Amino acid sequence: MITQILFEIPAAYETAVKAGSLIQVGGLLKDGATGKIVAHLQESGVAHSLLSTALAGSSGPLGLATEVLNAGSGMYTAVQVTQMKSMIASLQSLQYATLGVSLVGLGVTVAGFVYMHKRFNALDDRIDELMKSVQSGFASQREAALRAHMSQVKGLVKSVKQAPSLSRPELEYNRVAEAMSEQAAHFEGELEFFIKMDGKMNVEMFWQLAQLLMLSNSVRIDCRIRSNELRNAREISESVGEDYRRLFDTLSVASFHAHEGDGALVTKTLREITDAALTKPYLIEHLRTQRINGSEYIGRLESERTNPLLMLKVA
Amino acid sequence: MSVWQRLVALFRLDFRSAFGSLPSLPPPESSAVEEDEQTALPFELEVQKLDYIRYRRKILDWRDEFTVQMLTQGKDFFRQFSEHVEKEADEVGILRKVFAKPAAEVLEDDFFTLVRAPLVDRAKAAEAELTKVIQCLPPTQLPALSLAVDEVDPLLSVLGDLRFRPSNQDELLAKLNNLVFGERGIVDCYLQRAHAVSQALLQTLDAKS
Repeated sequence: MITQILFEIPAAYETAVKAGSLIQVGGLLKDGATGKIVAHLQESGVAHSLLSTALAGSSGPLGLATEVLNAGSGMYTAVQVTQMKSMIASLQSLQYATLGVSLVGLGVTVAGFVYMHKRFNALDDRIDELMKSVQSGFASQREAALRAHMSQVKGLVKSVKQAPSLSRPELEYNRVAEAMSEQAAHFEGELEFFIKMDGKMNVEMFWQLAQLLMLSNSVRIDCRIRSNELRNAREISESVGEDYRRLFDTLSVASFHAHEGDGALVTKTLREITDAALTKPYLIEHLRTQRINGSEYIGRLESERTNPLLMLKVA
Repeated sequence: MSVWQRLVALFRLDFRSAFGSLPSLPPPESSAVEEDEQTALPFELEVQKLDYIRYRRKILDWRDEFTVQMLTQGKDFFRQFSEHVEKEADEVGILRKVFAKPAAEVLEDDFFTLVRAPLVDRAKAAEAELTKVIQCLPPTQLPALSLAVDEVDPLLSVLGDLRFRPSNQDELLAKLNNLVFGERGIVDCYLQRAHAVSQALLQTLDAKS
């Protein structure tokens, strides 16, 4: 490692972003004059803990957004309310439009496996409900295949959660990354099929499928970072960004069968997620070129106890 | 130690020297290793691509905003038109109820004034907004940015021979609603045009990046 891992709080950059001297592009800030990357936005273990609490109280994916935005609804401690408010204020001041929904909570930056496990469980329940209650557009054979893949993904997340107790966890991380790549390919195919179906899409079903894809990809990349396979992590990340661009850039509010407000929220969130995915390779490349150990880096994020969001300063 | 020297050592029963490992290469000087680890590796991604990501987002935001406005304002315009139709229908005299005029003939002008024209204005405003957006893009050969589309069903032929009388009010409003919001309807045509314009812009930028 040639440089220290330098984390700062987002507030340190707010004035410059507001003044326009720093420009937010996806998950990073760049200097408006020189074009150089200045810092990368990262969620810490605190963010995952807060969002796990929100997840427990929400009924669906768009419900999670409401829970995030309604910090203080009784399920948080006083400290958590302050942390949640600070997280939302930071995202707003860094000019993220969809607040806590887009970057944070989908593991677009860094996945927290405990949180991911809860997230997959919630998705599993909701997709099951949706398939029973609405015309999902999937034939029963397809539904069965989707359930089978979801179950495999849950197993993988469960085992990767236990990897730190192994003598050589990097082997498990690499195994899960490989297996998760197949699962992500399946979800991507299903999502593509759903997008290309005739007529407007059921917004909630689309959102659940999109989350399955995003969470699988996040775990894939995260595992490669933890095993310090940074070049590979970067290449996966580049390909994921391009996939999101191809899948989501063509969508608009008019693609969904939903109230314009819900459709607009989903569309905006997709834009921010795609931008974050397109800029994530730059973060990984920074770690690689500065010889920062991936496992150590994630360890630092997970051990943070105060700030839900951190900025990795690019020296 | 040479082969000859090893043989001599063997005759002298000095097995350690005879079979000892060949001298390995001298270890690299520790300062050289440290120096190597202190050097940053070359950054392999193009930072200029970030500009493309940003410009792409501006174009998509413009398209998203236009889509939301056409859908929400289109609903407002159509609601005002529907209220106007209800009012007109209430005022139809007994004679006109029996010998009713074709609905298309009665509604053509009002539909133009209350729905079509405001949507055209909205599209023109979006064109102006797009011109502002592209001012911040790098200089390049831009595709056509006009959102003008052919007028969809100018004579309201969708209404067929439906007559303008209160009993037909729901049916004719449903048909006109479909003309505005349905597939290949007025709003859909504008949205498709905006999609085509934005895609052409994105392709131009992509090629440039």
